[in-house]
Amino acid sequence: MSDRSEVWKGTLALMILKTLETLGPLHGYGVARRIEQTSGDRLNVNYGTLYPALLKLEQEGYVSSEWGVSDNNRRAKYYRLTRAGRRQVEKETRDWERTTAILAKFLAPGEGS
Amino acid sequence: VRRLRGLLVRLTGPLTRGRRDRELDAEIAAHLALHVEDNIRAGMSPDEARRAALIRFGALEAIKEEYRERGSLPVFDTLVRDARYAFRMMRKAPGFTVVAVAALALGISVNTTVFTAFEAIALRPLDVKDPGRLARIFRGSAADRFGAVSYADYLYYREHTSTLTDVAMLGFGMGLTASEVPAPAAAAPPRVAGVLGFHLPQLLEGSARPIGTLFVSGNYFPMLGTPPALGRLIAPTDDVAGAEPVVVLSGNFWQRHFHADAAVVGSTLHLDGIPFTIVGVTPPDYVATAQNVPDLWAPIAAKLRLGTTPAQLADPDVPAGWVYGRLGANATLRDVQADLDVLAARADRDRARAPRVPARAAGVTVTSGRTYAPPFGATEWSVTIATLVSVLLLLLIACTNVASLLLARAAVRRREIGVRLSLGASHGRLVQQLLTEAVLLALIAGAAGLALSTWMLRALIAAVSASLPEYWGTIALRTDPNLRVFAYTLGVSVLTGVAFGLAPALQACSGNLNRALKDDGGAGPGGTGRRRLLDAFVLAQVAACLLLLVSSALLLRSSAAALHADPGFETTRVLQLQTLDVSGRPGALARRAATTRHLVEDAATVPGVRVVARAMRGPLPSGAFPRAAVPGAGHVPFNRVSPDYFAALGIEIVRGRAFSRQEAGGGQRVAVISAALAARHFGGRDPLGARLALGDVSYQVVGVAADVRGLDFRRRDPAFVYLPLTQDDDASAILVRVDGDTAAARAALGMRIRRPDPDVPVLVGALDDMLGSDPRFVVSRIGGVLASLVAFFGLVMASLGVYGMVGYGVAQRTREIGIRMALGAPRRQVLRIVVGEGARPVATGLAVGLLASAAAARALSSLLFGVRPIDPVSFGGAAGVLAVTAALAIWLPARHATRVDPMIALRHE
Repeated sequence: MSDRSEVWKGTLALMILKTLETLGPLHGYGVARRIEQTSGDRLNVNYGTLYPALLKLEQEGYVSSEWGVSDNNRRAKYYRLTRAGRRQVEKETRDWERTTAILAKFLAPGEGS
Repeated sequence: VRRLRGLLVRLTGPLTRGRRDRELDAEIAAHLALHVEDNIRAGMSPDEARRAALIRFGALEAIKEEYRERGSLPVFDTLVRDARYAFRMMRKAPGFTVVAVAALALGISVNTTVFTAFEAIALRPLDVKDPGRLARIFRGSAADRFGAVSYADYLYYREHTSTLTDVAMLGFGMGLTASEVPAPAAAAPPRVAGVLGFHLPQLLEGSARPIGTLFVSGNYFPMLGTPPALGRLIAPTDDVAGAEPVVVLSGNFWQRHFHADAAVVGSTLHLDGIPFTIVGVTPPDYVATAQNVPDLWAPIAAKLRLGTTPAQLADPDVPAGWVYGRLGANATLRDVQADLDVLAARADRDRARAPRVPARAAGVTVTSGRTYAPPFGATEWSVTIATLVSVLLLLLIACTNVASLLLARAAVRRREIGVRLSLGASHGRLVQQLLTEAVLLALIAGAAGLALSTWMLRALIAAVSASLPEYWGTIALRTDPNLRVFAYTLGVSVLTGVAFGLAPALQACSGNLNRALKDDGGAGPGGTGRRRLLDAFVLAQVAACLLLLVSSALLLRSSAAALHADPGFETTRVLQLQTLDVSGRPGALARRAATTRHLVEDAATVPGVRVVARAMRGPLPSGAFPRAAVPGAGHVPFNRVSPDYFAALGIEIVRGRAFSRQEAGGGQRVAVISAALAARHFGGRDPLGARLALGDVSYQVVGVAADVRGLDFRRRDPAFVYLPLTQDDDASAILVRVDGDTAAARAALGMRIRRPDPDVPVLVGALDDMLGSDPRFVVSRIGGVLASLVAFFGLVMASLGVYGMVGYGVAQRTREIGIRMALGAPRRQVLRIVVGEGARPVATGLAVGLLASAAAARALSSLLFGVRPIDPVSFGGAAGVLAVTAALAIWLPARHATRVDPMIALRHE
């Protein structure tokens, strides 16, 4: 459980950033739903864990937040990707691709034979 | 970098904590509401929808906690919490807090004061344009590498330098007299110099008031970028021969004498009778590169109107002032030094003058001109370091005292700490908490200390300034705290807090938990550890205090030596009247001579006056005599004196006779020489009637006078020549030998003397006052007085420390003492035990202190006159005073111990 959550924390940041890049400014609930949908409901994690992650990203300057009104007239805090955040998405995507490529090579023979 | 940003945001976290918590709550509420709506849309009942949303969100409080932790730094958070707790603890023990803060504030303020003075003198940039690119240029002599520069040399350097863009001169001042100067607006503040034991000669009642004037080259103010407070400042066009004479008032003089009246610009001021136009005013307290704020600033060329001849001004052998240069682009001080070395050598060669002193010593020295004082030499550094160390010792004593208080308090707080330990607080956390309390105390003390020191410095400078004769100018050392002073005070405060807080904190958290909870108040392992620590504190206090006492005793004895120093002539019953240097303009000399004549005639009629003599120079301040070459005896100092001089000063004529009035009046070439010179120059031959070549003139020796040592304690060379004062000589000093008290004679003199010439200022002072005011004694006396103040505080605090230690020991062992007495131990034995325990660390501290003092005394030896560094009186006296004080501090609580009633002691608890 704890191992999985570590991985989750590492990848969650990238998922949030990617979500905000694709969909534009979004509130926390929206980000959570989007991540869930994209993963095809395979990621079964509490929505609440999103908020500390969002706060960390904000402290590091990758996202900014401000209060706004949702489609159905509800006040909610909207998160928006900053310029630094955009750069970070690119960088992290590249890193991730490289990592998965390497991992894939490691895992391929065991699976194939 | 991003991490750092995150860290910074988190650092400010605790401050915005409440607001952030509320925001998170709102955000979570919005999240849940959105989710519930979605769920309802998906067909759930409202209750079901809400339940599902909550489950999906996860553990609400855990997430909030995680969010909170992300929001700030836990360490910092606890720090803020600790500080709040510490404040609560302080409020609960106001007595302890006040005593601790007061002791520390005193220690810190003395430290800050010393550092601020040092900073203002040696580190703070001058209040001029780009001070970092300013250079000072000195012309060395055999005696002093940092000598002044002649006007001719200055002009030569200025014209030929390739490394300086500009070279300006701050010429020597002149005491001038002025008419049209209104009386000061405010009454003169009280003088405190008398408290320090030095009395400077003051103006004679009714005498003219000299105006302190500094002469600057025309480019001086432009080079320094000085802004005028009013009108304009001296410009290059003012500093040429024949220019209209102009003068600039200093802001201080303007406020003091002209009530800050703007209409003064454009009006005329007569200096020594010559009309000058006031063209502007400098800002108040503006000192430029000078040491004091003068009354007036005038162009150097104006000296030509005030009696200086062009030949005198151009004499390359006469130092004329201090020279400053502005470094050219890319030029370093080293470049300038190399540049001027060449120029100085070339200038000397061009003028074909044989250097009077060896060339190496006569060279040019270039230093930075950034600060008030030129860069420190070895002596300045040793004085500075000695002072800083002594005040740090005082702080150390204060620290150990507060540490003892904290230890005693730790005993009280044992139960609290025990409870916290047993509830699972880590030792590290507890030490952090206790340290926070200590540092917080120190910071409060630091703030108080800084305020106290700012006030002290201002008062001190005002007091010293007020005790100097007014025309010496206003001391304008800027001592307002700046960033460096703040940093120093902060650093010292934090270090202080850690220093006095660490040992008690570590001590408090050690030891047995069970014992702590049971709190027998007493003699457990924690108890003995605390005792050892207390003993160590007392040892350190006693040693530091002894070091301070010995140092101050040495300095005081050295300055007292001045009062008992026998300069070889009578000082106790002699007044010296001094007519001040007036300009050499036509008639001035005659007026000065007339004033002198009047003074002599009038003084002779005052009752109690026995002898009135005249001399070219008074015997004090010493070392100012002109010198002339005597074959085989080097350059020998000489003075021109009236025949009564020997009688007035009680200088014995050991062979032959003094001058006769006829010899003096007729300008005959006769001389009286000192015994030392007679022995050296004439050997076994009889000097009487022999010829002595002095410079270019040959004199007949008519008498031999006893040696006069003066104040030359170091180089004991009493070779001296007395020549008769002729009618034509400029006799500036009048020596009045009186029968009784000089103070009474001085008052009588003031009454009797006819109102002197308004253009000739006259100073009057008693010789023994002047002797005591000699700079070398003033330094050791001020040092001694300050050191004894510091030592006194140290003594008070150290004796409190000893008292506290012994008292604490007695209080802790009340029960033990009770048992001993119940078992029949006599009071004497109890007394012996308590006294013995108290005396041990004191005795060790005394021994350590004596060793440290011996080392310190050697370091101080350059400041001591007439006292050997290992002076038995100073060492014995200081140790005695400390021992007696400590004995008293031990005896009081020890006696209390013998009064313990066994029954009450045993029943207690």
